[in-house]
Amino acid sequence: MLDPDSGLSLTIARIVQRLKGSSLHSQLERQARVSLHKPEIKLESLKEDIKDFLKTSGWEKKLQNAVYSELNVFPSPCHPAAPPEHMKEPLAYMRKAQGSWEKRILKSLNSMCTELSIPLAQKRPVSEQKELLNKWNEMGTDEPDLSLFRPVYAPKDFLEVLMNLRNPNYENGEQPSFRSHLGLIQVPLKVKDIPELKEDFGELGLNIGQLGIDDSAQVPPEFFENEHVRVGQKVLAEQDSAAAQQYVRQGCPTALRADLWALILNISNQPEDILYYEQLKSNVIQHDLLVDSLIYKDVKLTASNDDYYFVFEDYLYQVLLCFSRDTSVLEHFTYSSATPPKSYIRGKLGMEEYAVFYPPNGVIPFHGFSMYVAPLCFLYHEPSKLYQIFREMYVRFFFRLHSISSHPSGIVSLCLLFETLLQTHLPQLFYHLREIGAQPLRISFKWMVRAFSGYLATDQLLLLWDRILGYNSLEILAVLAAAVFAFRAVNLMEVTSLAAAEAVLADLSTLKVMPLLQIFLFATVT
Amino acid sequence: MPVRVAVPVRGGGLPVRGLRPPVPQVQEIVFRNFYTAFLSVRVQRPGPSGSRRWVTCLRDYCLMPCPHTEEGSQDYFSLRRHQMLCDVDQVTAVRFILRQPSPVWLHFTIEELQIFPPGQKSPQKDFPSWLSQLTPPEQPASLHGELPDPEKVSTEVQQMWVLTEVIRARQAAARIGRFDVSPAILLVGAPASPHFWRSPPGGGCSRRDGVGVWGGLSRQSDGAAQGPTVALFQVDGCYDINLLSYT
Repeated sequence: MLDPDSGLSLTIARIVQRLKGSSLHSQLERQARVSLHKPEIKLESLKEDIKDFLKTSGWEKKLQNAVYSELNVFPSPCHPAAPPEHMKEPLAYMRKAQGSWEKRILKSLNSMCTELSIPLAQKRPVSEQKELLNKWNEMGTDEPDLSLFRPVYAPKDFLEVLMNLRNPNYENGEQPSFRSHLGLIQVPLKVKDIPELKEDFGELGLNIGQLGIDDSAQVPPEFFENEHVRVGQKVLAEQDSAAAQQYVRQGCPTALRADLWALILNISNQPEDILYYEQLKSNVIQHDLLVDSLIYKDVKLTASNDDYYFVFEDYLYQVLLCFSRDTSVLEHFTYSSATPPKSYIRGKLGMEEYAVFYPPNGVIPFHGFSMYVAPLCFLYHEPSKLYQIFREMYVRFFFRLHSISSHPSGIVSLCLLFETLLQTHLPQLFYHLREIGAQPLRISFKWMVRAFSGYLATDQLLLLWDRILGYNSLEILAVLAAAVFAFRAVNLMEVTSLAAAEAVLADLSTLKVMPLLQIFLFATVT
Repeated sequence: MPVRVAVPVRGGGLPVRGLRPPVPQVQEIVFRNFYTAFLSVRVQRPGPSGSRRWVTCLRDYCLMPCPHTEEGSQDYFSLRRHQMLCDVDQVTAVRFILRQPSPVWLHFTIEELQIFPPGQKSPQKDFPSWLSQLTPPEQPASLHGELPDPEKVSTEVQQMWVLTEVIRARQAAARIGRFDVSPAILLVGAPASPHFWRSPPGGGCSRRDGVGVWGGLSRQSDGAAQGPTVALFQVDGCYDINLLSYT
């Protein structure tokens, strides 16, 4: 491990390098130059005066927000001797498992391609381009024939892969022993227990006000809600990312949520961001990708069928089609265990000069992918801002839900955390479900992979995602999954098959997440 | 010349090479962990009367905070001079004592061992010009106790920048050769009382909650070796890595 001093220096060097070429840097330079005309800037104390000016005009705060964002997104720097793949994923066998999973996905995509004899990418004829441009805001009305397309994989396929994940250096004996895990996940990752979670999620405690609990109709708003809204407005006025992240741990008022999330994710919707989105849009119009059909199919199968999200179908196309073409997403592969698939220009197989990443953003959508975007449509109506928020949330959080890694917020750790929590605190329920062949993870996996999108009511889902942003971690998904099982434990003890267990847990739309979380973490007798 | 040895720890040993008179000092030890939970390091130094004594310079350094789980199991670690309990000048032998109390792992060891003498930093590279334009930091108006000293931090930025360049370029420094280690000793009990006996040949560090001590160092020729072969490692009855001279 790096000792603290050199680790800090490395982090500083990395952040400086990343911010150096950014638009914020050029804006700061421009502001500094403009400020030279001001009377209070004197030549003798030029540096100090400019620094003071930047502070008072709010530019220092923008820089602070940018630095904070970099710290949140990128992991702490590795040891200098560590190769780049170590930063992606330190454990060799997990890298290997991710590699073989990716090969499987690509094989499936390639076979679909050859079966349907559709190229991975082709330029659209001019007439089609014009038509698409006209229909841009109503792509949902299009009814292309997608019957031959099938999703590349579904969450349950991914669960099978995770179940078979084994550490070759671990004692995976045939005989069940204290070393084997009773759940489906058999890798010995470190997961937190309830005392550690209580400490981490301290702001969800019983004696602290929460939106989702203390703003219900029975509670007079003077007790908590009014004050909380007032503090939220103050945080927005200050434009401080770190303060906003701390604030949303107790929930976001609905009116302030869009701005607070944008502040935490450091999205400001500058003109150059809008321009970038327009450029992506023109890329969509000019070229047709195979993944576009996968996206269409996914949206039609999932979001369009959902009572809450079908109205946003057009937005989903506008966001996801542009997302596929956004090469800035490739940056996240430095800290993700996944690797973007490579493809070659036709006829130039194997020649590196003709290699491209396919799709351009390196992310192949799976069944349910569009559900990551759908809840955001409630908050943002302007397509370019919606797009940027989704992209930032993907490269911070959602990519961990469909790649194999040992990260504490990765899906493998979340599954193990869920199973461990259930085993430790509801051992009878866990044993019973296991005996009837209904391993709890089989039911809760799909909730966690989608971050509960499409399973909870939208206001509850947004309260949950507030906490994901506030704590910069996805562990709360596993805690909520365990809390749901705890809530329905009585019914679950009476079922006798997997199908019956699934039926008990089929409908989560009436659940209130914050009371469940609070009770599970803070009010369960251990 | 730099002393840099990559030591993959699998497989049997090969015969020993000759030795050179010892001079060395140790600045930094870098290695990659493989499921070792605790590491102790002892060095052999000349004693007051000319005899050589073993001194513990690192005791039970924790590599895996929770030995039953994966945390820290395959990470890279650096041990620096200032972390050592004793002076690491005039070292003639270094002994690494590995402990893994958890019985769930089949093998445990450390890999890619590199020992750097003082004065040898990563190869100088052309770092960007803006680094040389770093102005010395002004004294901040108020120094909080928790914040690091800005002067210290900014003087290290240069060095660390070079390191980041190294990460990206990943060019190997001059290598001496590759060494195979066949751990041959099983030590039960406190590392401070070294009673060694040979384990069956061909064994890795046993996973029975024991202590593995390295032995059986040998030199293999490395096709990719660059530069003159300098430091040579003596195998002393399959026990220790002896740090010898380098020009």
